[in-house]
Amino acid sequence: MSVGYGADPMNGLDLLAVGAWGVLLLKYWVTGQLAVLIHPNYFPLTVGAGFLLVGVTAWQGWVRWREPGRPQPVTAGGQLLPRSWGRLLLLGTAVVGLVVTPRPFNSHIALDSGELINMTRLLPQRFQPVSRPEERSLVDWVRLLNAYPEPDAYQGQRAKVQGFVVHPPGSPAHRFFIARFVVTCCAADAYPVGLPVEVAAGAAKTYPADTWLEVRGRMITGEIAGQRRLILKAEQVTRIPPPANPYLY
Amino acid sequence: MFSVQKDWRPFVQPAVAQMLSPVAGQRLREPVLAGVPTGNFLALTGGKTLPLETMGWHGFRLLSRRGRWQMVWVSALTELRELGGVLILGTAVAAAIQVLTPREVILGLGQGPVTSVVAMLLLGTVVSICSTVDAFFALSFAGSFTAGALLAFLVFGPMVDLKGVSLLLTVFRPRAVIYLFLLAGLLTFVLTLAMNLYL
Repeated sequence: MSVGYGADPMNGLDLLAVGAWGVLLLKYWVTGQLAVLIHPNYFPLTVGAGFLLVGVTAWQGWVRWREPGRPQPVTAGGQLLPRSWGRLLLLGTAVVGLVVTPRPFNSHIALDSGELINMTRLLPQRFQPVSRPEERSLVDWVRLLNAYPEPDAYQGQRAKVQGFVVHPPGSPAHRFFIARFVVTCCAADAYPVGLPVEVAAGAAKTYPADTWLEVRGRMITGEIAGQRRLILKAEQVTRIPPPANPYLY
Repeated sequence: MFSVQKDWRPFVQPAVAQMLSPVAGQRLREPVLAGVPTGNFLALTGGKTLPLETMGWHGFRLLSRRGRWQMVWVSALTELRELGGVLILGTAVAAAIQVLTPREVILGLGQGPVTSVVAMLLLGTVVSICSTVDAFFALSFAGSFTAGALLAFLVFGPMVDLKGVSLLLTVFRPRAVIYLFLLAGLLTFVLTLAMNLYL
């Protein structure tokens, strides 16, 4: 590595960009939006990076302010992008991130992926069946169904699940899906899981797509798109505020 | 086709090649000058002199401890700026392809022993998700694709990452990157195809 003293490789704009990224990460943490973007396992890493970036920016800013014009060491390295591009890209993305509020995935994306209806995914990494059926979350139900798919086995069990409403195209007027997204690493790999819900005839449309609901009821068996499936027959449907953490793990 | 490359420098970007020693595994040494050094010298305290050509090498030693730390952080920040910009561009490309390419087009390529492998290789390139999730992702296709195709996805997916291409380009020359991907893709294709046909 060749080292020398020369033209300042970092300028104020660079420091601003790095600092903005630190502030952005910390903003997501403070406002709780981090949960919309990544799995909680990675929270400490993200928050640590935020503090580190802000700290380094503050320190370097202080050094520069104390000793303006002091030549900075230059390290030679490969340059794929012109310097100004790198700093503008970093700064631009950070500003966009600070302005735009990340929104959790909605029913539209759940339908687009096409996996809600087919239910082909979800191999549990660790599987602990929840014995009391009322305490199973949506993911617990889907995992259980995956491990033991016979719908009749669950007939008559009580259930209480929370999720958002999805109306698959062509579904009858007394049925909708209640769905959640499952995240393994980050929002990029989120995929939907869901259960069909049966309500009174014609009542499905009273719950618009993306409404968050808590559905209590009993499990029945029915036919959906030619497949015998477990269906949640709703006895009580309550509207709930969207949870701060929309995903399940 | 297979051979051992003793000198790595033709593969990597010129700036990286400068820092590599000609023989792999050998640490970079202090530059050795001709038997009778000529040229410009720096006079140091204590009557020592230093050839100007070796300034780059000795530059480290002339720094105070504080200066060295300052250099560490400035280097880290410079690198963050360069790689960060590249990573943002790569992510933008990957995201655009993932959103704009309809999945049905790729999946509709076919279910035959050959076409299914091709479809999964393409999908692995396009989605570029992290390797920890690849298995879960591949599982959703378990019913509709051949085992060889799924294996192709699992093997090739983590190797090729559109976000990573731009990062690779900061170290390797474009041609080396292309060869890397082509060879990986071809080998995966041939081996998983053999699996489809003969297993």
